Amino acid sequence: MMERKVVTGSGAALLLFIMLLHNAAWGIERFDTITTAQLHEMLNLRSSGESDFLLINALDEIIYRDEFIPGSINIPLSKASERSSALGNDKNRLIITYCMGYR
Amino acid sequence: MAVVIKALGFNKIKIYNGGLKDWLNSGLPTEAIAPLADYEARFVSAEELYAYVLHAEENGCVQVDGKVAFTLLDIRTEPDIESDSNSAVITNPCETVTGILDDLQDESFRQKIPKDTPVFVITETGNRDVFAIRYLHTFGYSNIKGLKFGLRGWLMANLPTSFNNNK
Repeated sequence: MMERKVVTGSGAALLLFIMLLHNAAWGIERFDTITTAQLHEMLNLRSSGESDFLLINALDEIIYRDEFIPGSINIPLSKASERSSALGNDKNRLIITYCMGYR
Repeated sequence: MAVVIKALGFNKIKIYNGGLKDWLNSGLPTEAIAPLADYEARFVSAEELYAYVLHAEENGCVQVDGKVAFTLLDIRTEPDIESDSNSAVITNPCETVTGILDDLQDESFRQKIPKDTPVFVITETGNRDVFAIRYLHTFGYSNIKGLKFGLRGWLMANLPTSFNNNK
């Protein structure tokens, strides 16, 4: 019979808390975030040459090929290192990343 | 992803947290290269999957005709890339195939996934299951379901996990 109590209730809660804290740290504490309206405006400005940035779709290639935000390039999270050349050499260029969205 | 890019030396990084979901919900246009055919993905709850696993285990993980009872298709990405810690996996005494979503494009990887017995997709939150299901459906898979809320749903239901260094 399979052992059910590998992760206990309090253990699972703690794990979830850490996962949520971890995500929050990436998305809120360490990096600025932008809204849909801001991104839309920035893409319009980029189209008219008034702004320059790289928009990275970090989803799997299968998902990207199905649907993506116009003007974004695909660098799947799982292949970030091997496709890093797509980021260019300008380390000060603004890079905006996105994936599927809130969970 | 931002963490990875920062580690590569880039200084100005922002995150569009709303992602593709918010973009679509705002009615803004998208583009496609190879859109997947429509197919209604079905999901099981963590409790339903657990009951399935227990039942299969009691029967030696095989069906009456000798075929494998079911397969878990674990295509979580984040634990591998963004954390050095061991990642939790659903405790499964039966068959688990592990990879990433894009591995499904590889025929030799797909051959590991039985076509004629149930397959359950495992992702971090259940967000990406539908893409795996729609993609595999184009290769004749119809007995495949997602796990509602992914591994997170499994953890929230306090169901058994193990730790796998190799995931």
